[in-house]
Amino acid sequence: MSKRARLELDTKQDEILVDWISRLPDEILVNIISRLAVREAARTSVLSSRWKYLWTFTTCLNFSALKMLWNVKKDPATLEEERYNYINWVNDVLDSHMGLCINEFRLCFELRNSHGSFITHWIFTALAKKVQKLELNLHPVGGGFWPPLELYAFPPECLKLFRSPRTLSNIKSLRSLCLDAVNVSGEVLEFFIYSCPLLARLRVVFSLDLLSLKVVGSSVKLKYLDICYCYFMEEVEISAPSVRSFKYYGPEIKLRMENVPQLLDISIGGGYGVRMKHAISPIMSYFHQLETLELGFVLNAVSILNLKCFRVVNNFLCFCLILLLFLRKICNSHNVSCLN
Amino acid sequence: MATTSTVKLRSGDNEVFEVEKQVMIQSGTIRNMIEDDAADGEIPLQISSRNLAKVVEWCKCMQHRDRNNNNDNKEEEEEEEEWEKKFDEEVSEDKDLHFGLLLAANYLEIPALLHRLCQLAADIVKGKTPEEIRRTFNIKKDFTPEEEEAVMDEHGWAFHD
Repeated sequence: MSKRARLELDTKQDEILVDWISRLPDEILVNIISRLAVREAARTSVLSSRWKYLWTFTTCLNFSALKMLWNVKKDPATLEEERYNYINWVNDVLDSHMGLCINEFRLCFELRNSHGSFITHWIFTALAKKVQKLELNLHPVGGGFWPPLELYAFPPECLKLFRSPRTLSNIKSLRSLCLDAVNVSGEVLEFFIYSCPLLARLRVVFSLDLLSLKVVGSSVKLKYLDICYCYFMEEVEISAPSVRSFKYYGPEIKLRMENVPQLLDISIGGGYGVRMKHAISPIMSYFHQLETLELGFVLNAVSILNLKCFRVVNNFLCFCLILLLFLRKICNSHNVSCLN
Repeated sequence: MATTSTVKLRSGDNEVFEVEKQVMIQSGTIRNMIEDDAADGEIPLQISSRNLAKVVEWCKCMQHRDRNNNNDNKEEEEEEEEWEKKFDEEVSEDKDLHFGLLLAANYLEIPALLHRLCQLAADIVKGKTPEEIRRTFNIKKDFTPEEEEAVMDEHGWAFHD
């Protein structure tokens, strides 16, 4: 091989071996790292000195701990140990985290009120970093719930802190809030609904402090509201043009619904034996605009129009009634009677 | 007010691409130039013709998709999905192209393209050990063994199962 040809080949190989990724600007590398799980993101710190601290700017703090949860499921005696590891893990990551903004903060482990000081600190850290998607899933690993004496509760002084001008400006980035096995009152939820101009998604599962909720006003931006297993729930009032979907599963509630021109999906259920006589009439006048209707309770009267999807859970008799009503509708009967 | 409906982009190696403005407004950088009436002449870009051609192709496909979003045309939808799949494969296999497009999408401010390319890069990283990542991207380890150990000790949870 001539000298020149070899030189060309060498240059070519050099080109192939170029470390192009490390030459990208920080913001692109952080964008890439933010798509990795926290553990994998932190592992990039060892690649080279260029990468050492990049992961601490990740915008996705998803503390999903499938392996720890799996260990606890296999051997419940390890719960305390794994919980200790989980708390240390979250603390270590937050201590190291240098980014000023995060898109997502997600906790997923069985934590109780006795760990409240950590959880509250984490929530405030996430809010201070202008979190957009906040999810606390503190659900028991085994799924067993009763009696849920020790659920983490938003401390009463939280609202006062939330209302301080600095926190208030930070929480305005919130777009999605999901609280599972967290005791949160209607007052706190309404504070978020009315103070966060971007909040589009709210899901509350298993809050025993939630008794009533009002989503009222044309300035509200909430699109998806999902309330499950809040055993002391009594009342829900929705009057907001932004609302597209309302899902409810739990005890019978008094439902008030008006001014929901964009409502497309409703799912209401309460399991066996729960009647929803106060919930069905408010939604009846919106049936014509729905795309999905899902009902899981003893039903009295229903009319269906323009539905793309309809499902009745746990109730064959009810399904027959609706089929009957539907057939009558097709036969141009404008008068849909109430069947008891 | 701008008079023409197209914009001319000149690549770093002097190739000129004439593209509809409607297509290129996906780029924040070019949209600003159009709005400031600064896009009537040729816009010189420090992007190679190969990469610029790919960016333009991507923008055209996305604009076409957005425009047809309301039509339920299954055939076209499948065609677009096929195109995107091919795009992903081509980029994932060609590091020069991937790198060039990342810089181009960043410079031209095309968020959707940047997200797509970052996701492809993340997919390449996922599930690999640090050594495998270094090998994949030719990253040169500049830590001494002691330094490397110190970095790993700092966040032990990331390195031990």
